[in-house]
Amino acid sequence: MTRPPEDMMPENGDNDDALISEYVLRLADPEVHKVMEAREATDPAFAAKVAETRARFSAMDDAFAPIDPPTAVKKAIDARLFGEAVPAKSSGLWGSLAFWRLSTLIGAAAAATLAVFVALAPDAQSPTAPFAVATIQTAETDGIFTVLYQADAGALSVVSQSAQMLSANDYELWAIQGDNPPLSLGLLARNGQGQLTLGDDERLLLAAGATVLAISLEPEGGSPTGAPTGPVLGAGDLKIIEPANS
Amino acid sequence: MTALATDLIERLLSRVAMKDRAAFDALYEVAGAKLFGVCRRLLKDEADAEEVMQEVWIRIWQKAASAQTSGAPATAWLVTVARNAAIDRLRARKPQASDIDTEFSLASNDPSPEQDALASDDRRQLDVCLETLETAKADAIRGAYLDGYTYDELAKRHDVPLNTMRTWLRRGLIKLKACLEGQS
Repeated sequence: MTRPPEDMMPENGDNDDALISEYVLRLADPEVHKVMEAREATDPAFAAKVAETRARFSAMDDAFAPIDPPTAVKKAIDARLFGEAVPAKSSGLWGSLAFWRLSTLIGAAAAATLAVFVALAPDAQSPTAPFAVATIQTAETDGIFTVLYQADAGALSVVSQSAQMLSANDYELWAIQGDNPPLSLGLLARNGQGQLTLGDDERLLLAAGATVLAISLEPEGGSPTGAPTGPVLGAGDLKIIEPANS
Repeated sequence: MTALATDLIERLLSRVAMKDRAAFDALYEVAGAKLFGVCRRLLKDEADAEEVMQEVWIRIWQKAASAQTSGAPATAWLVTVARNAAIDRLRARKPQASDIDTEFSLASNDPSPEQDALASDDRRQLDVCLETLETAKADAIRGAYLDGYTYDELAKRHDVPLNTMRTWLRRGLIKLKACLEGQS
């Protein structure tokens, strides 16, 4: 006997699942929501089901388009959490962030800026494993790139925080040291995203410090000459910051 | 978010759990725009979004340790914190029936081609399963998740009685779960 699915009465298990989905979607009535919240906090089996349901819906998170918050928001957060008079601690792994963010703001007045944060630490398995963060802000497209570098894996990734950054050209990432010609680190996708695994030469170059990173717009397939030919969107020093010994 | 960005956010969040102020600043650099996007989309109001954004980051600072025990990927945990804070604010607002007609646009919920190109496998799988539902039901589920609509608002938007919307959506959710489990 076949039953049309639309007329099928939900079984009890299904009903529970639907209740959990309603809870996660925030559709449950306020009283029900409170009960579920308390149960999530105290009942691990229930909490696991909630987590599973949450994970299913979080596939929709991509649809939340990133929007840059006004700078006053972070200041207000810092004031509320740490007190207005307390400046960012300048010690530790991320000590130079404030400086670099400031340099980004100053540079944003120009056409484009690139600020690079680098952190190196010995243990690859710990949260302090070597990695680098770079923020590239381009005035022309009002876009933001975040460049991430894991020194241990030689893995370099560029994330575009704006989905609108489609380009007719290819983005090419360059490393420049001293008066030497720029060394191509690879091409990014048209949407400004990229995952690059660096070869030994490039890793050594980045590890040596005193390196400038730059992104240029190049014809499809990358620069035909091996040197940047298109407009440079942003460039800046690659700074290696030693970890705090704590 | 790429795998590497996700990994970075995971690392930063675990440092924030240890009250590392500099990691908190870095996390804000990397994830701030995403979470502000969540607040803006749900609240549809700049001033409210800015206020809730503050609440979100205070919660992140205070509750980062619980992210590890939640088992959720760091990025999903952060979005959940932002989404819940924004919906708390939405629910605390007095019902505003007036904006429903002017704002209402099913098309605005559709992913743009660019977003489609960037969609993760999970997203595609979810989209495939949402496609198996009637359009109105799929839109209602998206509206609940992405715009924080209540049953009441969804019923008004889709011009059906409240109980019909409840029944629709519950059946839709059950069908959606069955589809996703069938795919994985």
